[in-house]
Amino acid sequence: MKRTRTAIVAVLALGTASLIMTSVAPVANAAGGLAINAKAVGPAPALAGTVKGGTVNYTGKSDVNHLDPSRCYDTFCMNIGRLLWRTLTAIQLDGKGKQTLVGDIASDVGTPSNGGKTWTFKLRSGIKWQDGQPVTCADLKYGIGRTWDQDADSVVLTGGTSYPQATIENTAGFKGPYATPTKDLSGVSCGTSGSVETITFKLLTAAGDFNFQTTMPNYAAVRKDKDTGVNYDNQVFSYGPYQIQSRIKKDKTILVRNTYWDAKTDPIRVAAPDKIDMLLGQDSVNTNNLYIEDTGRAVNGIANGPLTQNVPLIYDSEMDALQPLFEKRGYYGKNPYVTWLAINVQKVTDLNLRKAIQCALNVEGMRATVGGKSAGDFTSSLAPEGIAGYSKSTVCSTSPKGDVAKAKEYMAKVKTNKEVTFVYSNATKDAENEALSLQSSLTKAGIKIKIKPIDSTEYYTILEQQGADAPDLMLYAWGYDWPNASTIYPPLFRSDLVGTDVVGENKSRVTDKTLDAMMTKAAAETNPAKANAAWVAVEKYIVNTIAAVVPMYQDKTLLWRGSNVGAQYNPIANSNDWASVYIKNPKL
Amino acid sequence: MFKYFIKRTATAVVLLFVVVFVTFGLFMAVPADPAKLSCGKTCSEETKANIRHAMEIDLPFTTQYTRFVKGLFVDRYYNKGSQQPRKCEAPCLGFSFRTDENVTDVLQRRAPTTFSLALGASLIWLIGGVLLGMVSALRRGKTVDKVVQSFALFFSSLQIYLIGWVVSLYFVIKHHIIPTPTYVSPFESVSKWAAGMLLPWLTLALISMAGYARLTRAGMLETLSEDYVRTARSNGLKKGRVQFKHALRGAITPIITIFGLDLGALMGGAVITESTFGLKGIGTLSLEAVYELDLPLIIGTVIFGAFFIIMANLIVDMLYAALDPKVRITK
Amino acid sequence: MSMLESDVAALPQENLSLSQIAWRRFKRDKAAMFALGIVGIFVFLAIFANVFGWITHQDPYLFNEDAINLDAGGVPIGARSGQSTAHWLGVEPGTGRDLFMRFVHGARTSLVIAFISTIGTIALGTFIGLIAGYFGGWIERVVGRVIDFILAFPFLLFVIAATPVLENSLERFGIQQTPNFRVATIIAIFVFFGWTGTARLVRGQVLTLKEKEFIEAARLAGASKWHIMFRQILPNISGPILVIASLALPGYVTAEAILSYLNVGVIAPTSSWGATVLRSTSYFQVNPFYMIVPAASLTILVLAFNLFGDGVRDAFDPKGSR
Repeated sequence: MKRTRTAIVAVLALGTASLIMTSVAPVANAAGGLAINAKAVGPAPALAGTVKGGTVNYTGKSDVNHLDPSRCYDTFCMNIGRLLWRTLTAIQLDGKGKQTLVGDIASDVGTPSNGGKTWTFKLRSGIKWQDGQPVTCADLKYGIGRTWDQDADSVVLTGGTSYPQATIENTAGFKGPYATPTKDLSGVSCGTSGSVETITFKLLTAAGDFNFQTTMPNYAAVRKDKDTGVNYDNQVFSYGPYQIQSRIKKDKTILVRNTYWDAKTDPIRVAAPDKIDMLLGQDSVNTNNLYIEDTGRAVNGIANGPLTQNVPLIYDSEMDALQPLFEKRGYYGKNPYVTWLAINVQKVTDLNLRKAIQCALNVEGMRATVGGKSAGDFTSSLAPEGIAGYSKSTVCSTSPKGDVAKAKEYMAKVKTNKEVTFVYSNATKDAENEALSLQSSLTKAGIKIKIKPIDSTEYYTILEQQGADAPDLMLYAWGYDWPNASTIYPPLFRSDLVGTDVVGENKSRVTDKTLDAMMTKAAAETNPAKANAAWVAVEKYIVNTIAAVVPMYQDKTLLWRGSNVGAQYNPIANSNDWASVYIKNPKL
Repeated sequence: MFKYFIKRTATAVVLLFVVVFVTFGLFMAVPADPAKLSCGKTCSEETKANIRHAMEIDLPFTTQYTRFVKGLFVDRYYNKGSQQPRKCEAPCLGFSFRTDENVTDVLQRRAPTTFSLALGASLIWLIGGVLLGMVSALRRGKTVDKVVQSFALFFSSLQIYLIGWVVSLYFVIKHHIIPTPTYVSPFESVSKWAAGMLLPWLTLALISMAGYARLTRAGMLETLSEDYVRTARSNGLKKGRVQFKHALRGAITPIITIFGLDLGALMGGAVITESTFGLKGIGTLSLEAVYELDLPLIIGTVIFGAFFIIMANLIVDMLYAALDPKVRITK
Repeated sequence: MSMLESDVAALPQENLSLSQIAWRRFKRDKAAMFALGIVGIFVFLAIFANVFGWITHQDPYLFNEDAINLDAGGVPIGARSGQSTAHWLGVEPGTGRDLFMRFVHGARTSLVIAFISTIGTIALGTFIGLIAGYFGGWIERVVGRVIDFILAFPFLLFVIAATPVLENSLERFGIQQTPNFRVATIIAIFVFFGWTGTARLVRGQVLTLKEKEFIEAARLAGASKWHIMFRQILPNISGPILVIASLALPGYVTAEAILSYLNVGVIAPTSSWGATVLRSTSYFQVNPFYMIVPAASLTILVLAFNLFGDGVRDAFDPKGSR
């Protein structure tokens, strides 16, 4: 998924992959790096030293966009929203870095039938709403159905993912509970199996890993009589371990315990603190200073993402006295994202010019403007380390500074040296400096480069535009949704993403039938060693043969937490994990 | 006097209307898309069109404008004919593109913070500044005067964006001298309100206080040297009496004028002070609105700010007219 | 006083004009001359910025990667932000740009914007004020209303909002967003708001002077309206106008710095002290020297302008204020 905002677009990619995999029986293979536990029960695995009680603080600048699960599409709301709602299936963290797919509302991980076109899940009993009533299959079906409001005339529920509509059958023309209150969502049905409820999905096409899609927030329950439409964002009726005590958007939010939540039914959430206190609209520099000094709100606080620049500096600089303190209070490690430069092959058509860019780029200099080593580790692959497709190859030069001489050699072969434009968002001075660094390194090789700031409100739109305004060069970052190369390469390079008006995530505008075929074949490969080889070949094709991108570095995340807080890193949320956070000494 | 008051108020109202019209026109002409802010990438074209329809952005400009103005007086219903018409109570300033909240509600919620900040800080700098200026003028040439003058010069040259977070770093974070600034309603607890606002008040007041000290000093020196004061003194009035009554009264009029205008402008939000201390006032609201191109919020905050500036001008003019009859006649 | 032009010509040479008297008084004011000197130094640095570049062999836009620790977040190597004989004020974290060169080019930005905005404000304001005051009638009323209207808008908010809006609109006419264009936009917006104060004051002065006898005399002598406005009235109000100018200069320096601090000021690669302050707040705990340079520069420049302004005011009106 794209790093800075949202969109778990990768799930769509599974559609292609899964067409081939209908005959594959064990779902475990389809997932690749992720374990699966069909019999998980609560309580959730707690971090060592977990103690119940206390209040966890969150201090930040931006608020959660939406707490309404039908409107949640970014990692922040997914991370904290699941304190209020649970999805059909979810990813469990064991406190030691292992990720496992388990049933959350479901008691199993689903059973496919009909070649993967029908999926049935058994539901857990004992999950209760904050008023004590049990969560039923009907509630879940209603919650899923709310996604269809996106297709209706009313625009009550905007912002969520749209995967249910793309995947589930809907023969009656259901358009959400407000527009079509009497119609039924045909692809979702509730039943019973013995004493437990079951939910069955009829899909439009076979999907071998539908049970991964059901980790999406759309697959959460909403109770019809508590649904307040647009205002549900501020008044989510909870069946998770916490409920909303008060919420003022962009100001503050307080969550307190839902006394009807039963830890034995929940394999994901530990829910150690008694209260969660979020204060928004705070100045970043101030907040950062609070964490450095470990004072005030920061003592019992966790951060949701890296704050400002001097955090890595203090980590890396020669401030010996401070370093061990920070070691105790932060997560500082790799995350699943890779930052790379995308070259628009439809506009920068000369392969030699693209290769020259690859050679001239001074990745080290660019990385220094955004934090140096703490921003990430140099890489030559789009896949993060450990995922199929990753290899320690060279793009052009072994030095991260680039190779100006080689770049010049390619430039000599370039037919027309036309000017290329690099676009960047004007939101921060760092982006500006990055652009200037890029400009200076490419200019050294004789490449004609112009840098163009784009207003931050328009930036993502411009990245996708086709036509005269389409950018030539741009920086992009991408991370898997779960550890599988099929969520990296196909969503970024499939030719059907490139349209005449917009492109989806295919920022390099690659329309290459050979590549399409290579990716489909690799996704179908069940033998892990052969799959790895196939994805590495895909990687080399993209980077070396058609020179559509320049991989730069695998990102690192730096997260603060207060000295009185214990937390673990959640790679999918790329943040401190809210489900397992705890206060070390509740009396403080 | 009354006639002047009526005339002047009428002018102010007309001005406000012109401001509303121009603001609406200026910003609604910007091609910002509410759909982008509301749902970003995951929206289909159809949904985006629906959002624009719900916000009534797809209507022609004149229709939008008339509905907007009407909405200031009468409850406005968005998309009256559709399945779910949305009610916006008068005075209706629209709904935020980003959060969907009623703009008037947001302004109401944030205004007390800004008012507290503005009133507290301005009182501090007025009283402090005038006192310092007076002391300085009365002890002209002596050490006290020189010291106050130097400080006033230095502090009025300080840059506001430097002070806030440095003060926060040293007084709040590092040395815990003052608790973290935060807004607590004075109706809840006056002591907490004052403690929470103390640092923002002082930060905002410091620079202006220096300026007002300089102003007062200059004004008083001018009046002290004026003929009628000299005459009063020569008439045998005690030195103290003379100083206080005459000199201050002469100097105070321009200071009150400037103070009124400064305060009026501040009611629209002290952008930098609020954002440095994380206060949720109108200033930070307008900053967020501009960065995100949230048009209804931008329009709302500009109108809010303009309203107070116009009001302040009106009040100051009234005071001036009451104190100085010449004004009423020549205007 | 009532003098005809012929009388003026016949006067003995020692009689000086108001401005000349003021200048003499100014010269005797030590503090004011000192302030003028400081301003002069900054102006010198700004004008000869490129010469300094030649002397130090440094470039404000060049990324000196050898001066920073590329691994450790781009921290400058060495104390005081990497100060050395090559880099007189050290280098910038993350980019390695020479801070002395950023400093002198930042001076250029601040002074260019401040001076041009002030000149524009004064010129436009004086012109409109003269016309409104002298002609009176409906012209004066219209001008008064326009001034009220412009002043009703919250200045800072409007500038922040208007700058990108203005540029977007102009881009549709094909004018590109270059750094120089942004500087021009900022100056334009400053002048657009600024002329109002000057116009009000000038109008007031004109109203007072209009009735004076020497103007009446010039009118009777057949002088044209423009002559009266620009040759008779204007020289007599140069005092207050200069005072306004001296107040405007530090105001615009501060305003530009605030805009850059809010990230809506000048765009890359133009150097601005305000933008440097913005970036340096994040590095303060690790590298305080980076902030001290632009912070001190801004404060000292504004202070110098303020002191200079005090001197100007005293020179024109020594009656009571010092």
